[in-house]
Amino acid sequence: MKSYYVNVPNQKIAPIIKIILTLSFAIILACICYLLFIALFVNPWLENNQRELSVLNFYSQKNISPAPDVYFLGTSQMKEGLNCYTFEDDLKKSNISINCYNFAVNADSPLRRLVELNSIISSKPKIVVIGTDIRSMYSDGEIDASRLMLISNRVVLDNASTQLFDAKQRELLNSDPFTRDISNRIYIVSYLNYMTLNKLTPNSFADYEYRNNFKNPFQDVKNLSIDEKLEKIKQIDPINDTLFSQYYGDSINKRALQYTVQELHKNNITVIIIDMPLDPLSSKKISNSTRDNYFSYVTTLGVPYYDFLNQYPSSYFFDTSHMNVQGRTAFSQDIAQIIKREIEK
Amino acid sequence: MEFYSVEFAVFFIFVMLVLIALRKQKFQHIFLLAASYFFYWTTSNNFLLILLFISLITFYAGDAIYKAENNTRKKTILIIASVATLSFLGFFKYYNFGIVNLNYLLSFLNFDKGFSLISLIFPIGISFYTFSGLSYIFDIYLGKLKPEEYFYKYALFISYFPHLLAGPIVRAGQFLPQLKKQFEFTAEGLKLGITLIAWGFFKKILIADNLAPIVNATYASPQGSTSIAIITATALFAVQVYCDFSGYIDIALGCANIIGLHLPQNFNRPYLATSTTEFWRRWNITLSSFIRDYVYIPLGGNRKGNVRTYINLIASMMVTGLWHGAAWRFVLWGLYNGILLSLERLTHNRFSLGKTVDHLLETSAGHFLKILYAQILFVFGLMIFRSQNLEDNWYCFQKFIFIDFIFTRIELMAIVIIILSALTFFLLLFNKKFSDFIVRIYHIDWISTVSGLTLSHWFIYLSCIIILLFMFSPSSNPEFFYFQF
Repeated sequence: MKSYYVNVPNQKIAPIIKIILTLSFAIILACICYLLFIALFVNPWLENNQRELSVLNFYSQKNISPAPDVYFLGTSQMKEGLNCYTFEDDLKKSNISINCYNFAVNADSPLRRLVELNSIISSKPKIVVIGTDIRSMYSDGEIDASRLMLISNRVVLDNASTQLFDAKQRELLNSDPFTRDISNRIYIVSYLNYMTLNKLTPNSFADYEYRNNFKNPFQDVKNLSIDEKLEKIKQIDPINDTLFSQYYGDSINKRALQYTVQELHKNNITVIIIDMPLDPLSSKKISNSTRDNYFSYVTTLGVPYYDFLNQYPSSYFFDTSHMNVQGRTAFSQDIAQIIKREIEK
Repeated sequence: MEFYSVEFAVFFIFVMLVLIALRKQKFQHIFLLAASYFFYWTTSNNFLLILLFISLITFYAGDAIYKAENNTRKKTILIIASVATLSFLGFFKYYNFGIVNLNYLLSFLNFDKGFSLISLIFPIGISFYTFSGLSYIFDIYLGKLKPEEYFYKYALFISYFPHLLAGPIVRAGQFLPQLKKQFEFTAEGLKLGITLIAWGFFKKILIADNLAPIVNATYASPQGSTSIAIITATALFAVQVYCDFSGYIDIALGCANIIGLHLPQNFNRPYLATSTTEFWRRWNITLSSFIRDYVYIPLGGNRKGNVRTYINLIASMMVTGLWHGAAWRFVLWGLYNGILLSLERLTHNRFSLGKTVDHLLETSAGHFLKILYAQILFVFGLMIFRSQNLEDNWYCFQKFIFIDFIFTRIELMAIVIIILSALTFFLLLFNKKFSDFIVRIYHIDWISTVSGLTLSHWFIYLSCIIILLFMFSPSSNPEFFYFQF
């Protein structure tokens, strides 16, 4: 039997207690090195490059300009769908000067956005456009734990909004700095990529779009063919009405959106709801009953809303729900017209 | 309870403290058996009964075989015990596979009704402890071993927790004699054990677990992937599966060393093998030797002529493939390796590529070429092993053979760097000093060397590994790869 125990070199072996102490000291040293690395390198980098933190910093540091600000919130559909430069240029043609910010983020939901609400209100935008996606509205209130952990103790929630989060989410939002530093381990590879590989080939290894003032956070990618889109709907992106129907009555995201609209109204901020466009191949899978339920709910919010669900042809989407250059341009211009009407009111 | 969980660390420290406190050897054995059963119960709950049942069957069958008066009776008991032992493995691992194929056959023969599949949870480690039990009765039947007198000692051999879930497959002849001595909790055992455990964690958590998402991303749906994506994913899978399995084995060996009940080594630098034949002597050694001793040799081995030898080699490798999982791709993978072994046997010392080439192959540079040859063949085989189904297999096969030459800029850069590095290394091997240096490194037993370091140097080794583990371990750790087998 070949085993290592027969191969130990004949050396003076330290007593057991010394071996255990050496192991203990190695663990302590490793802990210290790790925490120093996180504190000195990773945390400062996260402040500027990780979306959850950089957006909070952006809200708090943004100067109040004479031109009114329009904020766009929503999921990746809004993120990929609205080009602030096109939007601003279109309004400039009508002699309207406006600052556009696209704060949309992948897999957003009204509940997840609540953590930014106070910062948004403090930064005093004129208009907030909320792009809603039926899939995120009609779902449970699950939020990626790492997102909440990252902003723990950085956000202020009042009693009403705190109650919308479940116990686990509240615990994550109140994590102590040590626990947060331990969990920030997951960003070390991103940090190292950013400091090394991303310098060689910018934007190849990660999505660092939030460095550019939240104007154009989208990425242009290859358009899928019709067959590929159908396959994606079938396999990866199943839109199933039975998933939505359980939220027809009440859902945590419906309540979160209602609360968001109320708070923005209270602070004299105009709110507009947009039902975000989907590729017709995808949108036809959403039943009339779900749509009726959605619109009857949005009506109760008391804000203008616009239905873009079936607004554009399939060629305006690079996949089943995200717009390409063509779709983005058309959507940005259409939204610009809505904002123009709203300002002229 | 995973090896890398806090629960296991607490469990292991508790077991060690109690073992040290217990002076009597018998109590130590019984306590270790109880601890092993508890360990298995935490991972597999009621499947503990299967472990107990297999231990009972093989223990009493071993005794009955030894005491049987004639060979026919010995053989009958052996067959009954083997079937009873293998029935659990067969049911949990191969039942659904058999039903799927039977239904396919029935529909082919125009029968309307088929058999329904059962949703089964696979008992972790069953392939390993079943084979350990079988080796016991086979060895007694072959006259290589005397039966163990005490059941608790035998049950400890089968269920000893460091090797219980994913091997190595221990033979009774290697393990039971150790139970005759008092456990030795020694400083050298502790230091070597910690060295091995740290190295095992490094391989499993830092390398294998970080590579897993990259490999999974390609192999989840390989159709449409480029040649370079598939070849890279397969090469990374080769690293992943080695680091995952040998990482587990290192942790198991480390724990066993600390306890003082040693386990056999399962890997001997397989990726430095210069041929497929040598590779299988270095990879999953305990499984390979089990198959050699209990499948290949009983089939006739190399004693019945060349043709029969090749058939035996292929059949043995197909059994090895099937041991890994109930799917035709595993059988195909076994067949592929069996054919490679047969071809190597067929061509060994029969063909010459000319004096110059033969001479070159004997040098260090030649060894490097042979290593490349063996590893390329192994990686190619892993493509069969890793694909989810035969359609994916076919697609990957085409992409392996007919390279599409679609590269991104970074991929092209990486390929050029790898080829240039390999070429430079190959040319440098013609330099005697460099070649001697590499050979010296090749022969170093790194684990023993690190374990033999002074405490201050050993402290640096441990600190580096722990820092890396803190920093680069992924947020979630997949199970050990070989748990599914």
